[in-house]
Amino acid sequence: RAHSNPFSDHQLEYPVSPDEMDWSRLYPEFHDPTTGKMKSQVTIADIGCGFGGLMVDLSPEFPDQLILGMEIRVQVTNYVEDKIIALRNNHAQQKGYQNINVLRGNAMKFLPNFFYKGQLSKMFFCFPDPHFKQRKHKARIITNTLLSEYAYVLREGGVVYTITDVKDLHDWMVKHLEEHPLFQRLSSEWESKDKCVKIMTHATEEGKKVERKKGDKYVACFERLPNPVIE
Amino acid sequence: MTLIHPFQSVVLNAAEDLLFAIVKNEVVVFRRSEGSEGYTLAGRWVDELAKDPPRATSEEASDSKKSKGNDGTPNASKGKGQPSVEIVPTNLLRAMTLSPDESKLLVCADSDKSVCVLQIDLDKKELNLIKRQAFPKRPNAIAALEDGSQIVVADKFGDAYQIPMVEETKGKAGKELQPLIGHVSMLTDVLFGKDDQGKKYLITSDRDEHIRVTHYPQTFIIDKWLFGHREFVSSIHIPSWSSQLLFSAGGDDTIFLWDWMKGFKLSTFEYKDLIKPYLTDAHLAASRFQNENNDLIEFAVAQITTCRKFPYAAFFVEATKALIILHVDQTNAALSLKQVIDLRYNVISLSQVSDGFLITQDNHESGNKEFVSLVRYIESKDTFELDNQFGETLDEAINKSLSEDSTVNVQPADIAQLYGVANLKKHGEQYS
Repeated sequence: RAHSNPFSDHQLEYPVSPDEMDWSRLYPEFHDPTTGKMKSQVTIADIGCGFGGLMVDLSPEFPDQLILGMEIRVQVTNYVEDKIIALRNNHAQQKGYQNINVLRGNAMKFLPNFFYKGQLSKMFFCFPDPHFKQRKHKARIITNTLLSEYAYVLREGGVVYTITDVKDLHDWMVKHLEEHPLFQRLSSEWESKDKCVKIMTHATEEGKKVERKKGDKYVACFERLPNPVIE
Repeated sequence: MTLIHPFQSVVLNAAEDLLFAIVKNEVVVFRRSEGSEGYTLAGRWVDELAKDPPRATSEEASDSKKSKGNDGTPNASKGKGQPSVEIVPTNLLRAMTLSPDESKLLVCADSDKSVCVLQIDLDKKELNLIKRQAFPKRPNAIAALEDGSQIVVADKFGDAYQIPMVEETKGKAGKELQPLIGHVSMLTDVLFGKDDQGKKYLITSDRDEHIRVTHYPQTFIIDKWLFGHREFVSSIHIPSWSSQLLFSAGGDDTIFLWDWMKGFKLSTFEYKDLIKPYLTDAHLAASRFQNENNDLIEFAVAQITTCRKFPYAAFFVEATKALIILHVDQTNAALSLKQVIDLRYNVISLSQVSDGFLITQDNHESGNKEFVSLVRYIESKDTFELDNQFGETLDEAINKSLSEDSTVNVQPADIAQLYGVANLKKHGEQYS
């Protein structure tokens, strides 16, 4: 199914705090058994990763960084899990795709349970649910209030990537990100040079679908600004 | 037979000569006469917008919650974008607090989902409504800024709005007036904190185990979360004698004590064994969540607070006849049991006084007695005791001034739903 209610009480597994998150299960190759610690942290998050196409394409581009997809729909998460297992098996020799994985989770509620302050360098919001109805706008993944949580988990200079084929939603996301004091839009020149923008535009299943239908794709990227002086 | 409705909550002013109480949809003030122990009614205000829900409907609603199977039917009629629980489906007043200069009383009204600011003019025996601000979703908790200029209102949808205390609010809440902060979870409590450098913070708790510390007025900068709860948080409190401490409690078996400035958990206190003798059939889980042996109990702390003067905290578990008092060792920040005060009726609210605690009781079987009880610390004996004289004199004043008051006199069956905190517990998948 295409939608999931972000407000309902899902049977979700999430750590009580980032300290209690066991990442070795998701990225065993990055777990150092001698120290018992992870050699890398998750720094890239794909929020609402869908079928995981973006992560698959990002994986070889950032071999030392861990990439996490979060997806609220159970079946979709299971599908992505299976896909990653298959990719890892097929690329076992070169230890490919060890840096990507997926979690079933509600990022709107529990992002700070997974990530420390400033842990992430990139967050992707690709073809999010548009929630067209006015009264459901709080269910949108980009809102003024949620942006403060994204700003919390993003490091200074980190980037929020958004892409959608719905013009209204694009305008909404741009408006809210521009209004937020901790984000600043990156230029179209920056976008044209950034490899993630290229991947995001062409890699995801949604992106390919839009391409087949010859639809428009709207991209907007924002940099996480440093906190102002605390009053 | 009619009776005076149980008091949902009480607040005492700093001088401790004015007692404000919420009774159904009415606010009453009692003043202690100078030089005597007697109380007299010094003001009242009725929320005229509140209407009694038809009796049958309210009973059906609470029955259906308990009896329906876990097949999604209870939620089917609700809007899909709504959170799936209601605390209490009523028309009551709730979340009463005094403005910092004690010139105004702030209450949340369920009737039109508003915050009401009442100017206190006791010379004229009046509480005057000077501002009524409606919100898109029901307000659950209020906090007033130290200088009294602003109020922050936390709602059941997870948003917190700021409005001026007195001046007209610019813009309509939810339209032009945007939330100050938001959780994607019902907000249960809100308060202001101030650190050693005098910087202000807004602290909010929610149904998803979260306690969030946000800078104020730069509320777009989140400072930290206090992680540790495994169930919803219903109540948070900063003691007057130690501004870096924060108590929190809710659906867990544990009370938490934090250094909220540093973000550390300092101490916990497990009360499960202590409360067991006080639990009754009222604490059995609803049938759709019940286990095979039909013995699954669910209980939750409704409120936690501290004495103003002494290092003691008190809390109660919803629908129990016990007030549990903890000692707070300030050198090593440890919590230990001080005393359990046994009461005749279930506690329904708790508030602080300088040397103890004020509670209200579900006294509907008492014959209009024991509305409010004062539990006082007796320094010479190093123990807490019920001040019976206080209770009796107040009962007298209540009976004298409210027995003809048609708003607060009700049939036993019309007593408002006084227990809703345990409903905040999450029971897993509702729809995915």
